[in-house]
Amino acid sequence: MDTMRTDMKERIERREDVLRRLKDIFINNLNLNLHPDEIDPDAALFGTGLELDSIDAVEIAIAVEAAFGVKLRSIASKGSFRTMNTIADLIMEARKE
Amino acid sequence: MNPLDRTFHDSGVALEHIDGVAAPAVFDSVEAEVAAIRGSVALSAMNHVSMTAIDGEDALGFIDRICPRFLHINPNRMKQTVFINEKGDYLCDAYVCRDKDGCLLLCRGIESDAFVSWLLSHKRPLDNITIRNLNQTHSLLAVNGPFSWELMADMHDPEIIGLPYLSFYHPSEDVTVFRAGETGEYGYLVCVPHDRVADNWEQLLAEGKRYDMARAGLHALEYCMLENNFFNIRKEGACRNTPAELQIQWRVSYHKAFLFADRLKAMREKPLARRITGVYSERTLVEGMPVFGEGDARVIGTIVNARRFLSGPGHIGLAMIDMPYAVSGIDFYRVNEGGSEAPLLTVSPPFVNNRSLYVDPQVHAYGDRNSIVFPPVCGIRRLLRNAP
Repeated sequence: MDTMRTDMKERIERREDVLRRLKDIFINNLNLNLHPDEIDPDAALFGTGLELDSIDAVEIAIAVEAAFGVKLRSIASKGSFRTMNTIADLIMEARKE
Repeated sequence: MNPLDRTFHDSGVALEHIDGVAAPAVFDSVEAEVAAIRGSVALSAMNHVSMTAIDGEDALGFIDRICPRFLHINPNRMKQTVFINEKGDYLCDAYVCRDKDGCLLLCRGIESDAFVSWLLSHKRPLDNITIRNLNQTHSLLAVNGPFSWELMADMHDPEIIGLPYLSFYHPSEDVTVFRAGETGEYGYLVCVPHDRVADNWEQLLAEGKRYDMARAGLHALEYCMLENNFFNIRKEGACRNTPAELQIQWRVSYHKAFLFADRLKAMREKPLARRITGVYSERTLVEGMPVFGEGDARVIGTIVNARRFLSGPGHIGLAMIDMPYAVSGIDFYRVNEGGSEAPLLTVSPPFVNNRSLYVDPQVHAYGDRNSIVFPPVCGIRRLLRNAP
């Protein structure tokens, strides 16, 4: 990481920061009995993976918008909340990163 | 060879040997077969899936003892996991299905006889169970697609529309319908006796004409698995990586006491050195291709599963990329294709917007599909943003 070019290093760190905060939101809001390291960024959130339901989705959407100060609903589609990484994509797009 | 496989063999369908059986690889063209899976309905033969029945009063306890995932599972529901063997390798991926008198296991990545032998090797003398290799008596068909529920309702029972994802039922004593699939679309697996499978196949094809159904082979199914980031034990699963590196930690439970918990614990204690990551390139991606980092010749990863993208331009794939580089949304990496460098973008799978997300069986029908507003199938946000 020390030898990495600065712009790439910053991009990776910003992304990892968003993922870290997202995992905290999921764990705290949904009372998940998981360590953040046990949540894979590309694992499905609904159906399989974390096995969340539609009520969880609403709660998470509200919490994410509040925590990151972004409006996701205008740019989100039905496929936007499929994984931590797809939500991170939305957040970074909303923040124009 | 079951009667259906014999038909494929005799009629010259391209076959591929996988887990001890010759599975139909391609019927027509991968492109046409994927189009059916993504847009209407596709029918597949799934005899490369090992089917095992474990009956008896100790059946659930027996599976629980060897399964790395907590099995808090209600009757007629199923859970995905990955079995780990005594060497700490992935043995196969699996659906564990809790039936009223025991368990059904649907596994990929292992021959059915070898899986039964492995199960028997862990049976204790006092375990009151019987283990049956269902592949000897039954065949498995798959129906996938955003309108597969409509065909299944026609063929079996209108109530099938309400069958929850990862559940199953027995429409008759020796037939089982599972609501499961790995294409990202509505999917069903149908387990039928060998002596009826050829008739069932023909009936589905005949009924399926109303839905423009196509037959889909292994290559189309595995392509759709890649587009939807379903774990493929033949591709990324063949790497000797930890569940965290493969992003399949949800398939295991680190805190569960099972027969090979020490092997799983050893995998967990390894530092996260690399991680499977979705990748996209406008140029050709090939499995085994090295991924280069930031403007120098340093190799930071390897492509482990890749195909030409059928829902957009370019190629998609999965790469095992070193930490800390294994992050989505990075466009600094490169691959070397045919002696020239090409940019590689890390992206967040799934790579597609599945039609099934937008089809409501309570409201829609294949006949009025043109009234449904679908987004572009391509699900890579970066490509959509850059589209003219």
